[in-house]
Amino acid sequence: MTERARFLLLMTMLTVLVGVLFVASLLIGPAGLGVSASLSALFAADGDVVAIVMQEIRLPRAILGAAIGATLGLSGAAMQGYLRNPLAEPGLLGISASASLGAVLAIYTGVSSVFSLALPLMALGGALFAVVVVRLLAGQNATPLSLILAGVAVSSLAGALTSLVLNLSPNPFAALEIVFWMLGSLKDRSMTHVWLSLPFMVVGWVMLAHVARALDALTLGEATAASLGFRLNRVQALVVLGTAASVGAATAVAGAIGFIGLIVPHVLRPLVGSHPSRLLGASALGGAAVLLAADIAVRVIAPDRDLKLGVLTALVGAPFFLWLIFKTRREMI
Amino acid sequence: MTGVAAPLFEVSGLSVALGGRDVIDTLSYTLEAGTVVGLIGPNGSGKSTLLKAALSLLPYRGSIRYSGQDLAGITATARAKCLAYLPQDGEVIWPIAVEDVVMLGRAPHRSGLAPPSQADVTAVESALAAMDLMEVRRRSARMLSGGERSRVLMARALAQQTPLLLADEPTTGLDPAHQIALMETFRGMARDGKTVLASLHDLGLAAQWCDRLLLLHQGRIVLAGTAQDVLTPKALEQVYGVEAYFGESRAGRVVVPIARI
Amino acid sequence: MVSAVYHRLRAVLLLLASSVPVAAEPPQRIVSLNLCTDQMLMLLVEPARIASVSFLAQQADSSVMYKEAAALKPNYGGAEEVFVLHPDLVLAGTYTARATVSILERLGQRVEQFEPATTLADIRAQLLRLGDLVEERPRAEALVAAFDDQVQQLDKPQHRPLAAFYFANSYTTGRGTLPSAVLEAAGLRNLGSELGLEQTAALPLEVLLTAKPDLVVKGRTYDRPALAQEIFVHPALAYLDARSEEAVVPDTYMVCGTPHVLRAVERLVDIRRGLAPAVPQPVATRFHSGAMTVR
Repeated sequence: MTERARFLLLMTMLTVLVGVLFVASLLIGPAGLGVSASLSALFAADGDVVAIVMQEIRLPRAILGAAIGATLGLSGAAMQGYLRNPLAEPGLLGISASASLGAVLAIYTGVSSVFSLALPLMALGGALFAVVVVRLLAGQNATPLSLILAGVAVSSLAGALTSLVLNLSPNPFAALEIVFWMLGSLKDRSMTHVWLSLPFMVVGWVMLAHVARALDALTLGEATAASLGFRLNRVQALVVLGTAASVGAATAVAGAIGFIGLIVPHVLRPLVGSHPSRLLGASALGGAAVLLAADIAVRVIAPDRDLKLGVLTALVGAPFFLWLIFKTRREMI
Repeated sequence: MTGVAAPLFEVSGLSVALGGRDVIDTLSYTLEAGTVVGLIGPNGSGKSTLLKAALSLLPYRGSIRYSGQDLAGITATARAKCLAYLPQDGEVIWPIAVEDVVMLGRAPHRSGLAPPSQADVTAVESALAAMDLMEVRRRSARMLSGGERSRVLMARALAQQTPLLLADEPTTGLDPAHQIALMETFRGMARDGKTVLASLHDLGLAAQWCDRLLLLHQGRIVLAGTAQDVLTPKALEQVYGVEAYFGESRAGRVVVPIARI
Repeated sequence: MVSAVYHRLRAVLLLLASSVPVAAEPPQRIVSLNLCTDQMLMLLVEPARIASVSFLAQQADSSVMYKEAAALKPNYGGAEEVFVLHPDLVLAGTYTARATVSILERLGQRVEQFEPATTLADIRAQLLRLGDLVEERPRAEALVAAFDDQVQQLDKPQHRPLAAFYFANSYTTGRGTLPSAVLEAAGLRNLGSELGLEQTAALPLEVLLTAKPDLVVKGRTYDRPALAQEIFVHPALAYLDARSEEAVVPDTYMVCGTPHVLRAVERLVDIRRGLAPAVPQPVATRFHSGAMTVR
């Protein structure tokens, strides 16, 4: 089998997996609806209760699970490719935390209730800020260490400011919602959230997809990539804006969900021959599958508890991250 | 039209400032098609900077013309079809297969993520063969020895199939046999009408294999011409601060630095 | 180190306390640490005998009697601030200010604790108990009699529509809670109880929708935004509201077991009477059986 055929097979399998998990996500819920009844209700036009539950509660949750997972996987793969650094990821670099801060400012100051697009836009702004700051702090050809340190700094600051805003809110519920913004959840998201975030995510995906070949060339370093005809300024702008738009919109409606952008590209990299371009598509599908699975798991493990997604992704992701640091350190010595 | 063909590559009045200081100072030179030109000079004389500026990788003042056309006025992709670049200390970040690394050299000739054309495949095959890489073609480029990796990166530049190759210390890290093989490849390219500008530290290789040498010192070209013209005891003493042994062999002039002055 | 400081503090405080004459008569300097004991206390004794009530008692969004409490000295539940008031009786809830209560008890203060009331019977019992503590038994009995009288007058409909509390973050109240008792008293059935939920429990939106209650009593919405409140504007809820009534009963009337809960009951009775008579739904559910009797 040629490498290309193997890649197409992988993509097909991932697509099927995402499809299966998407349907599973639609079928799982506390209301305990029948399989065929719920699936047909998905397309029913009348206002039957089952149709409403399927169309207004479960469908947006499944759509957001797939789209946000794809965003995290794709942006993780794109950032790793662009920064040529295996530890780059929206969560670790503080991009998610800063997007959370933007979203928190939009929601809790009441701006988003006046102008609803303020939510994704301010989250995008937060994400943009983080990407630019991390890029500046870590500098050109950042070592994994300096990148992580920059990410830690940005994350802590954004997290602290988020807590501050929530604690200062006169609404007694606000202070408890820090958990949502730090760990993420898809509970009770609606179609409103889908319409608010999906367009930004799609724009971000398109931007990131456009840098695929440049990321391959960047494997050989910035100078070589430039000599091969890739305009690095444009590549940087696309990566930065694409990540900010997609991660910003994802975080604005689901909070900061960590580690998916780190793990998924790592697991899939060997399966795509390490090509950064092929890793983009594969990681998008892989991210969608992982987040859908995580969201199914939180509903199955503790149906009444609103277990946060970030708890699950961190339980798997943090040990993986430690292993990765260990491996990276060994390679650097 | 003057009737005289423009030189392949013409740099005039080039200055490059790095950190507020002109590292390259109003420098001019031309490269003729079908030649191998050695760029020599001590550490810090500006060789790498000169090569990068020639590729427009650094901001510069002055003009750089390719076949009479100002490089500043053409697209990055068009430029990449004319000039290939082999950086010093080339790296391969991800464990990509050797042949895939070489295929990256075809980037300016390919569009989108379409499968490679027959021309792409042919270019990669001949580059792999020229650099003696057929046996390791499926191996990860990160798992190779330093010399092997240098050859992979060289093959990548060859696969770009440009009329002009700018190579920054391409022989560094290669064993003598592969150094000679590389210089033979450059000669072969010159026979095919292509031009190579390579910075070299090995004055012996420079003397033996290059048609012309440019001796760079403190951002200026202090001597240009054949090895006979450039590699003089006086020039080596003034620019490098070394005394050299000069001799003749059946392959041509031999220059071996023997002592500091 | 810490214990040394504690012992010195205790010695000083005991010295201060000893200068106050021990109450041989009805308590005259009563301090309440809990919103519910605050309100019962204000119903039973003259303001002059109340040394302090909790700061919550003065807030309109938590207390029914915020006007009465306005003139009183507020406390924030700290042991030190209570102690310097030289109280002769401290009232606390069993779940409030645990640390404060235990320090006060170790310092020899008389602290009486009240369980949260979860039934109308609890309200009677607690009023009488507090009446005894503050030696205002007749007043307590009068309040209880008036309370019972009003409860008696509530109608007992044959058809009891299904109602659901729906609070921020998709919570509801199940069995064994005061709001549930309030619903029952108003001639309504509590969805939370029927689903077998205990105390305050999660009620997923899709379960609420499929249960098709006749009435949804939404929790309070604060002016300033929070995600917890977003559930009230979830598009799916709009479909439910189209076929059931929506009502907002101020939480303040159901937080504490005082006779004021009757105001919440009366409000719910009004809403229940306004509900459309049960019409057989196209989709039959167990919640839509029987005819509704409106008196």
